[in-house]
Amino acid sequence: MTDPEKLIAAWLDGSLNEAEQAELNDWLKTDDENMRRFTDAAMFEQQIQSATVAVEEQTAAASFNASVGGAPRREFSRRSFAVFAAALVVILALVFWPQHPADRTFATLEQTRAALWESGDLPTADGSRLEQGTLRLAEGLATLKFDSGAEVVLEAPATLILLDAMNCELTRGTTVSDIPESAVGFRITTPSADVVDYGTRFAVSVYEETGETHTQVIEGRVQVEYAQSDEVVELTTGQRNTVIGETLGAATDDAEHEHQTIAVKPVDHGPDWTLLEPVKDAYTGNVKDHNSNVLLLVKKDIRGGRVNRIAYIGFDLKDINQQRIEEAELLLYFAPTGWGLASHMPDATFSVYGMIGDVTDWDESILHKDRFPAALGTPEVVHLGSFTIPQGVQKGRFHVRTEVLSEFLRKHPTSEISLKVVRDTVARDNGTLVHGFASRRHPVLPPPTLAIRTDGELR
Amino acid sequence: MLNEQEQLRFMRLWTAAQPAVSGYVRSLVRDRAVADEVLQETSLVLFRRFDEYDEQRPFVAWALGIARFQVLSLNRDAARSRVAFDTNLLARFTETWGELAPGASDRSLFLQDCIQRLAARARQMVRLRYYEELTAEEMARQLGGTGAAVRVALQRIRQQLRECVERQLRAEGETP
Repeated sequence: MTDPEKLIAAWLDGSLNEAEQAELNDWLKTDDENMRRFTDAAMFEQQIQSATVAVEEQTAAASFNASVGGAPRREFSRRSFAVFAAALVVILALVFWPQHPADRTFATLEQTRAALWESGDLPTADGSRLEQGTLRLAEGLATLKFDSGAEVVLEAPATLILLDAMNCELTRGTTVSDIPESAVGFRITTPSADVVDYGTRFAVSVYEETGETHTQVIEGRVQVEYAQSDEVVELTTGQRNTVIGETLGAATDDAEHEHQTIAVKPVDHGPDWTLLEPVKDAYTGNVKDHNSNVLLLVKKDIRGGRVNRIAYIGFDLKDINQQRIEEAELLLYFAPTGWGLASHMPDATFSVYGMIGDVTDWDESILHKDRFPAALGTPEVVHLGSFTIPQGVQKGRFHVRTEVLSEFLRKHPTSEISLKVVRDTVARDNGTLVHGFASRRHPVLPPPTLAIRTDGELR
Repeated sequence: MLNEQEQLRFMRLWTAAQPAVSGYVRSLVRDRAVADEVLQETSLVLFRRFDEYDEQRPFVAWALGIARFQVLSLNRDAARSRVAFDTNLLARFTETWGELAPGASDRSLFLQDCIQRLAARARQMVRLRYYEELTAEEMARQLGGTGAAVRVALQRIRQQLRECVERQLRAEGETP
């Protein structure tokens, strides 16, 4: 064992290496008296510092006064004055602080990656301090650091209710948590279970539709407490378990399986379907600072004009034998835009139109234009189908699958086709919701997709 | 919002506790500017949460507890924090600091005198270390010798100062 005095001195100098730090920590843990000795040394060091500053500044002031021949007088030390002034500013700021709620925050939103948020009651900017409330992450990842030390990464789509520095509630989606010693006992409550951590890294997923809870321990130990009884399952490194309805699953060891974070629904397109991505897409309508390059905004406003947003999507069918198209489906992936009020928006109907005539020669430079450029003519359109997005819903996959759509594609004279997506529903008043779906430039969501089934070979 | 009387009470308590809290923060956060920010943030949180302060507890202990969270919330690397020990130890360190602070404040009174009594070279080292805030290696470059030698000398000076202060404290205790 190194002499504790040496370890303390090295700590004060900031020259401890890792091994010595560990040794110091062990020494501190063995005895309260050791901790007192260490703390006293740290405190004395700070006192020496303050005293030195005071002495040096008195000396400087005295020599200054001597050199200018003035009477030596007691100088208010430069640095002490700065500190005093800063403290005064703080205190004045405090006294004249406008009516301000007490700080109830207990966590920080440390970092987000490709995050899109749905309306919640907490701030969502990186670095925001968080208090009790709900976070709704539509896309991407968000890292939360609780003051207890617990670190929780939220994987979209997810809803997390923050309760305090040691408790949160996951109602859908996935969290991956890193729990240091200080946050042992950190608890994630789900609709079907409580997952209590004992110093570890673990993942929890909640399936929204069923409320089932999937827990996997990456390292360490957690307890899964069944919500409906006192039953508890303990999981250790590599183990997983599932709580579904009436059953509290046993701990299993199959490290082979990947952690399943959402109930995967098979896409109902078989092998004889071809999926096409757009060759171009854009929307018209333009409100300063309310534009997006990754979402195609769609809105019908009571005022009309450039506040209306209309989306245009172009596909090229050159690899498809158009005459032999049997079925076709247009898939759009909606995501919250952050603009407008969802509560002002009733169930919204959208229509998809096919553009006909000689007006299909548009390109993406129309993006954010006030309206479809007059130079390109007034497009004639044919209604291909409609879908409805219920009130309050801002995300999800919506589709149009009609015989008219297939017919439009079959009969179109050229391989380049253009579709137009509009919202039919006008909201009751201003401030209405702006809907949006992923463009081909969206970083994570799939682009608008045209799924086509033909009865024969590709061209 | 606190009423005027509570504001005055807060100011008195905070003014009295500030040296202990500021020493605590600076002992844990090496970067001076960051330490000052932490201190400022701490004072703000204390003020806003003053209605939660339990008068049965010493104010300084409460203030240190809040300062601890502010230190913990720092990005370790950015702040060049000295908090290399785990949060459990940090909690005990904080608690111990709160216990020792009231008894230790008298030392400050005598330290200035003791520093002025140091031999010239020791005095110079103290100035470089605590006023110029040089590292041991930087000091070695100015003074000649090695960083290790500087550390040993600094440790000796700390010991000397401690003995000087304790002597004076005893002397004061003896004077009626």
